Amino acid sequence: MHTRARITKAWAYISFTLTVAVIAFLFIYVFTSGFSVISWQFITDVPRGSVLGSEGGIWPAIVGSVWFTLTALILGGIPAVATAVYVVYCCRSSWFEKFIHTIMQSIAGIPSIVLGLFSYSLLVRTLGFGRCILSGGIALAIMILPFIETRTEKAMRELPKETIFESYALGCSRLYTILHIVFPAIKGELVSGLILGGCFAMGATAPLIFTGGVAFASVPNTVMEPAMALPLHLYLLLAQGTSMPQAYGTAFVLMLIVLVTNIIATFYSRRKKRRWK
Amino acid sequence: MEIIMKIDGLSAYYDGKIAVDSVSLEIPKNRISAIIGPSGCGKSTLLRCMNRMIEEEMDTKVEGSVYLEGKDIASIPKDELRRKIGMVFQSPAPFPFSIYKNMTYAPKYYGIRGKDRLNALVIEKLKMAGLYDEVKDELNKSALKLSGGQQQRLCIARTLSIEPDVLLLDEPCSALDLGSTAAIEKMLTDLKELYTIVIVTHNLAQAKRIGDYTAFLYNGKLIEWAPKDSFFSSPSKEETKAFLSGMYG
Ligand SMILES: Nc1ncnc2c1ncn2[C@@H]1O[C@H](COP(=O)(O)OP(=O)(O)OP(=O)(O)O)[C@@H](O)[C@H]1O
Ligand SMILES: [Mg+2]
Repeated sequence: MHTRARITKAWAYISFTLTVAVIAFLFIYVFTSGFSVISWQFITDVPRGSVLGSEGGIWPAIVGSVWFTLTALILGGIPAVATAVYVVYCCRSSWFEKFIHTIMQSIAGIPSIVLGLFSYSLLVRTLGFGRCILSGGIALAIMILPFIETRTEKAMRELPKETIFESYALGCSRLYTILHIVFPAIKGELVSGLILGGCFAMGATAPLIFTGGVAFASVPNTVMEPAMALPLHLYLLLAQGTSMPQAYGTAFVLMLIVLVTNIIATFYSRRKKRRWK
Repeated sequence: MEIIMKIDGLSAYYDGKIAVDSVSLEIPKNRISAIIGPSGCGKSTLLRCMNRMIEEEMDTKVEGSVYLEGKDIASIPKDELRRKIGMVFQSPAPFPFSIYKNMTYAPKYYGIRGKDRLNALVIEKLKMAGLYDEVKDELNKSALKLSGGQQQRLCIARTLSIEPDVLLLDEPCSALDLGSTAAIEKMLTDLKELYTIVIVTHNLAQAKRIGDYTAFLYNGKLIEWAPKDSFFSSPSKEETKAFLSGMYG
């Protein structure tokens, strides 16, 4: 029994160390390799060079990624939160609830390239949106919808049902209850869910390839224009062998954005959670 | 005797399983009606049917009708109905706000504005529930930091804040000591001038002390319903006699 417990413990430690080591190595490797090309100019300049991207910066890709992410967050976040509210507070049949969960799981299981293909054939071609931020943003929105829905629903379910019922019993409407009790109580988790969903969207390449991401574009002005995106830019730099340092630099910026927003999200939700404990 | 609520052939089901079985009952106005019965016999469910809270639960079905002052409650909008029929739950759940915000939450919903008006209301209702003296210096403290008994009294005060006509109380003294229980009982006895009170209690002595009428529920069925004196001194049904002699529950 003793040896068994010890082996389990050792195994857990080894796996933990290994995981941390791999992640740390990845970060350090990308950060050190990319650090050399990082400069103010790299961030603020447009791609240049005989082969576009071999020199210059990635500013349009940063802005493009932000546009894609915000579009996805608005178009995915609103229905996701609305679905969670419906499932938790309005749906009165466990059958329909299960049905919605099944749909969410199915969406979560769709490979992102298939979402890109769907968006391409429906939005870009059939509906004639063309390649633009909106078409790509919708594909990303579908991708992050189940993620945000699940997190929001989980946070809502953690609230005691009695608290909500007390509000109903005072005669207060569902809307008043949700706005004054539910949202304030889950604000931290809601915001962190949205931020993490945004990071998820920001890192995705496949849904953008056919739908709105392009190898080169200037900074977009509307959602009906195509745009560059950081992960796609990175993919193209590597795939076409344009420039390794540039690729690492791009990866560095992407990881930095994702890392920083993740840290912010974690701290924000912790701080909010602690307040009522 | 004036009747304020009439329950007529009421049955309630959870997932097709019956919890309240064709109960008919008339609740007298400005009196305290006590509902007793063993655990799981449907007391809470009966209360939930009286302000339609049962509809908030999953997969429920209700048959029969409940009338408030002659009007079928199914035809009264839920918020209007619940403002008239306030309910205190079996396990108190204060909102995760300050004590003060707990008290103003519902009045604000009903459009009561103005600091002075709200302050006066908060103080009046907290006093009624016998909580004011303990919390008067820390109205901004989180309600979740109160003790179980204090939370229970806060929930009573919060329900009073909507000034209902009928007060449904589901074991309001389960987490209280003798002193607070006595205070709540005195408050309820005082309040019956203004309100009609229906109280579920496990405590037979309490039903005897404060109730004017007593109902005995068993397995979802109403076994006996009588003025307190005759209920306790000369119950007519065998089940009631057995229950009063402590054979079940
Ligand atoms: N939300 C629910 N879902 C499913 N069944 C329920 C639910 N609430 C109550 N029941 C069932 O309905 C029956 C009556 O429950 P109820 O809560 O009304 O009993 P009670 O008399 O209030 O008991 P107690 O004295 O223990 O509070 C029980 O058999 C219970 O299992
Ligand atoms: Mg009960």
